[in-house]
This record gives sequence, C-alpha cells and structure tokens, in this order.
Amino acid sequence: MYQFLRNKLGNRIANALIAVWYIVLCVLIYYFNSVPAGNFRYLNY
Amino acid sequence: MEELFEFIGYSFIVVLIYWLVKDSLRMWVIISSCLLYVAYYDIESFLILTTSSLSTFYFLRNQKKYNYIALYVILALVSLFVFYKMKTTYDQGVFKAALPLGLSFYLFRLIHFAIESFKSNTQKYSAQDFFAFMFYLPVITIGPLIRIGEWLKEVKRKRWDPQLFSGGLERILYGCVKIVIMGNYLFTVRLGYLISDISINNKWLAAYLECISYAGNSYMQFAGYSDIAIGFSMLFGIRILENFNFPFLASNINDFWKRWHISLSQWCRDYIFTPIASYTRLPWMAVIASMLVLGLWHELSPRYVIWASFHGIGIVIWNLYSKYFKNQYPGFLGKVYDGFSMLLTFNFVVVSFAWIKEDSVWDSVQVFKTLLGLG
Repeated sequence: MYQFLRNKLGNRIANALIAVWYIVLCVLIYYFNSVPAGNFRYLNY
Repeated sequence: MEELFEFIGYSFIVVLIYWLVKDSLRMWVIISSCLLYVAYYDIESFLILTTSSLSTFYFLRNQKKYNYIALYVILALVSLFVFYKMKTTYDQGVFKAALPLGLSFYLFRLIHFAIESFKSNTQKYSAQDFFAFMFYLPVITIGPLIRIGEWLKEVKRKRWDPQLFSGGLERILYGCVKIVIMGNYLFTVRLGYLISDISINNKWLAAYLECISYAGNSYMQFAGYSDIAIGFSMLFGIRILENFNFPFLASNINDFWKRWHISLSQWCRDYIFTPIASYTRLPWMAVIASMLVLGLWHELSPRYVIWASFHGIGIVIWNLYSKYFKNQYPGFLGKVYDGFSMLLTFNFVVVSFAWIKEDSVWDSVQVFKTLLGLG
C-alpha cells in the first residue's frame, strides 16, 4: 500500500499522507481509549 | 485499558534502554524488565514463573535423550497448570481468584521446552538464552507461544534494523486500533446499541448479532494484543511467529484453526495431535483430544469442553467430507463454492462462541434454542 502511494504520488507526498494517517489513528485511539473492553478479560490467561 | 497503556509505556522505556546498553547486556535488560513487570503486577505469578523456570532449567540442562527426568518435569508442569486452572474456575469466594499473570502462556512454553529436551531437539543454549526465552517481556502476558528453536535462531540474528523497527511501531499502532477502536468501540459498544434496539422486535437476529459481537471483539482484542507483542519484539530486533492470519476468511474449519491463535494450534498439533495420531492411527481421536486441550487451555470448565468438542466434531466432519468431495468446479461456480464455504465456516465459528459467551451451559442452550427458532 505504502509502496503504491510512493510510486503514484512520489516520496514526499506519500510520506506526508502516511504521517497524517498515523496521527489520525493516534487521535482516534486517544479518543476511544476510555471505552470498556467488553467480554475480553485481558491478563486472565 | 490502563494496563495496556502502562504495558506499552513501560515497554518503550525498556526498548530505549535495550538499544542504549552494549550488546552483551541486552538480553539481561529483557530478562530483568520482564521480571520487574511481572513482580509489580502479580507477585504470585512472579514466584511461579521464576521457580518453575529455574527448576526446569536446573533439571533439564544437558540431559541425554529420552531422560525420564524430563517426564517428571512435564508432569509437574501439567499438574501446576491444572491446579491453577481448577482453582480459578471453581473458586467460590467473594473475590474470585484470578489466574496468575500469563500463567497459561509461560507454563505451555515450559512444557514445550521440556518435551523438546526429552527428545533432545534443542540446540545448544546458554542460561542467558533460556531465561531470555522464558522472561521475554513482549509475550509474557498474552503470547504468542514462542518456540525455543526459532527463538535461539532469532536471538543470534538480532541486530538494529530501522525497517524492522518502523515495522514494529506500525504493528503496535495497528494493534491498539484493533483493541480500542475495532474491538471495544465498534464490536462492543456500537454493535451493543444496535443489538439492544433489535432485541425488542427480533430475538433471533439479536442472538445472532450477539455471537458476532463476541466473536469479533474476541478476535480484535486477541489479534490486537498479539500485534503489540510482535511489534515490540520487532523493536527489540527479534521476529516472532504470527498468531492470527485473517481467521474469518477461512474456507473450512480446518483452515480456521491454521489461522486463529496459530501458536497454540501448532502447540496442540505437535504435542497432542501428532503423538496420538501416530500411536492410535485414529486421526479423529487425535483431533478431538487436541481440541479438548486447546479448549481447556482457556478454562477448565464444561462450557469450554463443549466448545472444543463442537470444533473437534466440526473438523472431523470436514475431514470426512473433504475425502470424498472436492471443489472441482471451474471458474465462476468454483468461486461461488469457495464463497459458500467461507460463509458456512464463518457462521459455524461465530455460532460456536455461544457456548463460551454465556456463564453457564444452560444459558448457551437457550441461545441455541433462539438461533434455531425454538425459543
């Protein structure tokens, strides 16, 4: 996927897009991190 | 979620120290950081982990092939595993006892090591190699179940690799996305709202969606934690085996177990299925036994016995079917056949979660009654 972007858009634009994508994911994780984990019992195995 | 972010924060500090110290100290950074982490969260688990690892190392170091001591060690480890599983499953106290942190993973890792020692399949290893294998921070709480052979190869190969490092960071990020956004938010909260709206008018659809919610959330959580473990391992310059490979795209139930919790499935294949199948020449019995161990690894309870048997019987039926019928349709028809197989497998797996999502078998039976239109 990243290689495809780099081939199509060039390194600079592709890298900028990928960086934005990562930032968006980080913001979403921060935003949703207080949601309870449901049925999965982490640390129970 | 706090534990997850604490684990991630702590692991990043460890990664930083790991690359700052000289090469000869790096494995000791991993070992000490893992021990510190386990001791901080669960002192009982720390004691079990250290005692069982030290005694296994002491008894099995430089043993000859087929030495009976390895059998005693395996028996002791299995007994310890069964004892703690029984204790947590049948504890009737007000504050239900929790399983010591990561116990199922590190005891199965030790059992694997003891079996390989019995068969003299282990390459030469030092105390540092063994303890780094046992006290490896990324996999300590939630796997994957790494193998000593691959571990020794990877440790020898480890080096600073920027590409591997950036790949690791990406895996950690995607792991968090799976857990927090896909698992917690989409499959639990959003789908939960939808189910509560639907349940008033359509009980069947609500029961089916509940199974999807449970299966989807379990997958996202488990695969997410595995991604984080694999990602951190990549940050240490060590590649470990994958644990999930798009299991819901499996074309049959056999294929599903090659894609879901791969490290545990392979463990059961190597140490339960293969010996039983070779000894009895009854593959169906080996399949059922493997699935039972796989199920009981999660919890020693009737609901997991039924869930495991359900899958075991599914695999046996599939194996019988595939002996006589094969997809020989060309072109479009073949694709339709594949799509139908995938859909059937998906539904089989999703519905099977009804056995474990409820607290009792009786409640699960009620869910099945609803799904079959009887309740």
